Amino acid sequence: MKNIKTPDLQTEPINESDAKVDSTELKKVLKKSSSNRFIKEAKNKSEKKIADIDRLKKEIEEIKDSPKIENKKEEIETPYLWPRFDLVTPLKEGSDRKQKRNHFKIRKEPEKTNQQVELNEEKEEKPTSQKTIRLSEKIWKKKEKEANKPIKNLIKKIFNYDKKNERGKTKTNTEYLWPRFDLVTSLKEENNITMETANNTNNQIENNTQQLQEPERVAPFIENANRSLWSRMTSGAKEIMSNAYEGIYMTPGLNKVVGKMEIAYNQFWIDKKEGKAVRLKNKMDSFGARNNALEEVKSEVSKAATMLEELGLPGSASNLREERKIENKISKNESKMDKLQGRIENRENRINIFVNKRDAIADRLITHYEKKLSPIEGKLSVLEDRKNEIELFCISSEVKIDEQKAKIKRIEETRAKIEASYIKAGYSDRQIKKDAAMKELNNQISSIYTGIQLEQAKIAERRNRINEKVAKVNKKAEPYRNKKNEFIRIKNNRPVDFGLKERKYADEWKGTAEVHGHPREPGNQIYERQSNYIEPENSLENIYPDMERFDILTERWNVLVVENSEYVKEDANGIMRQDSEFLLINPDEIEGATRIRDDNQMTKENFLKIVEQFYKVKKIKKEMYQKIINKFIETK
Amino acid sequence: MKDEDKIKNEDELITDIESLINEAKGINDEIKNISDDFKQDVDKKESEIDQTIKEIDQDLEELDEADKEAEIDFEKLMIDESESIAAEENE
Repeated sequence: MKNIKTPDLQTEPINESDAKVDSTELKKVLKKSSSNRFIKEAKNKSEKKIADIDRLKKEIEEIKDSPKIENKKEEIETPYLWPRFDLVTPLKEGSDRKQKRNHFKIRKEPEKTNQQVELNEEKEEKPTSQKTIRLSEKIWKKKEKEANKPIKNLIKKIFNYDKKNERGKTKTNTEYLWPRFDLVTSLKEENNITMETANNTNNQIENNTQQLQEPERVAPFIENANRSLWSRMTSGAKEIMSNAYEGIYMTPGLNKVVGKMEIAYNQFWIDKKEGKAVRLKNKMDSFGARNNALEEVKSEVSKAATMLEELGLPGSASNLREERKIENKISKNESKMDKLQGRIENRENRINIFVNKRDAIADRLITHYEKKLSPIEGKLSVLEDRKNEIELFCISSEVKIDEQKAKIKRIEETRAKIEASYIKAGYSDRQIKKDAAMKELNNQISSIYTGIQLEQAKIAERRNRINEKVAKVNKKAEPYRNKKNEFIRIKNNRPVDFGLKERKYADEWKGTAEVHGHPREPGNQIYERQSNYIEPENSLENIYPDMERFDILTERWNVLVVENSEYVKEDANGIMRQDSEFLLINPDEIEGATRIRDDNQMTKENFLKIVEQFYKVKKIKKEMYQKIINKFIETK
Repeated sequence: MKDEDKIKNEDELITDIESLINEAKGINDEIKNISDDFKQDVDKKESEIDQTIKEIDQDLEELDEADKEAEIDFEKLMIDESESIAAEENE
């Protein structure tokens, strides 16, 4: 561009035609100059390269002629030095050390004849070692191919199996997705075996092809009762069902029936059943939108027609014709919409039928659970009562033992006084211990302590055993209580409402929602039980100093009950009754339940333990007597 | 005098010890009674508990059976449904 001379516009003014000619010429000049420049550059480059090559050639020749290279050349051209053991002749017996060394020295190959040289030239192109490697590779590949052939055939058979089934020819035959675990495992095994022996693989493949002809075996997840149904299913249906079931078997520890019912209306079935319905609905809606637009156009056209008529201008007839055309279009769309709606309704009905069938099964289970669980709940509450009664026995026995502990404490105190009197009388400790009466007394005291320990251990053991039994049965029943709720939840999983006028699904759903209202309260009771658990006392030193007779304590309790009496409870006839009627303790009643006598002595705390457990057996709530307990603790 | 006093004291002490022994024997008997009563009462209640648990277990087994029946029914329903969907897809 720099070389081109542009005309001086200021000095030489040019007219339009001249300017046109100049521009075309200028372009030509530009083209030429640019092409020449490129050619020149290319020429220069090629010349440079040629010069470089010549220089390099010269350098190589110089290097070739140098003495160092000559030596190297000789080294390279020396004959084959590889220890050719095939050329080594056997060593003669009795040869000395020198002979042996010379014998195994690496030697030059013997000179060859012309024929041998020609042959060697051919061989040099492909050395023997490389040739053998290539040959072995070829043989290996061939063998591998032969070994893989049966596996490939088997895979083909697996994928073609469904194509052969006349009933189940579907579009998705080639995309058969059901994980054929039985075949997959055998295939894996086969792969391993093929690496070792191809013959065994062939036998296995034959067996597998036999297995393929028995579709019943390909239903490991189906119940035995339904195996025959499975065998009669089409391959397409099998594929659909197995895809639906995939979710269940991927979730560990899932309750099967709950899982199956859940998938009955999960995403898979929604996709399968409702997907198409949704597409149809969308199509229908688009027709609706089109019709709305056409209606608007129609009204505009009719307005124009009336306007023309009013003005007395021509063209109103053509407008009317247009209007008729639009009307036809609308009516055509409406008929299409009708058809679509019919299809959607059919689909909806099918969904509803399926959902209703599922609900019927769920209902059957729910009612069955209700029927079975209500007596179980009753029995569980009976268990609770029995457990409370046993707890009352445990507490009363512990209170009685505490009384015996206090007695033994008193005996020990008297024994200490006697021992002090003996010492005052001049007896030594040893003499006192050896005294027969004292020995007998000591034996009795130690046997009491062992008896108390044993008894406490027994009480603790029995209490724990019974608690465990009851807790175990509660735990067992718990999943069944939950399951009832699960079925209810499954039932509440409703299909998509397409908003078609004929549908009245929502009403149906509301009708069945009652099943929710089944209270389950035993959970709290378990908690309560656990909180009331009393740790056994192992220490014998824990002796309560201030004990009182049971009848005195009961009397004091009853006085407090009467003093703090309130109208709190309604009886069966709806009459409000005083809480004292429920809370007053009859000592005989307690004696009957606990074998505690009037003269049994106990601390206030122990008395309250018995009272609380007694009320628990009688199912009296703690709120009713908590105030009295507080006041009872305050009294001296 | 001192010896006489001493003998008296010893006699008194021996009677005291004997009464204490009797008292201790009484406590031992009492503990045995407590143990027997407890065993008797709790055994009776525990056998009732065992019986109730047995009944509950039976009821729960029946619930399992119901589950199984429902599962079979449900599979049938699923098979029918899969079949109809497959047929539809073929169309």
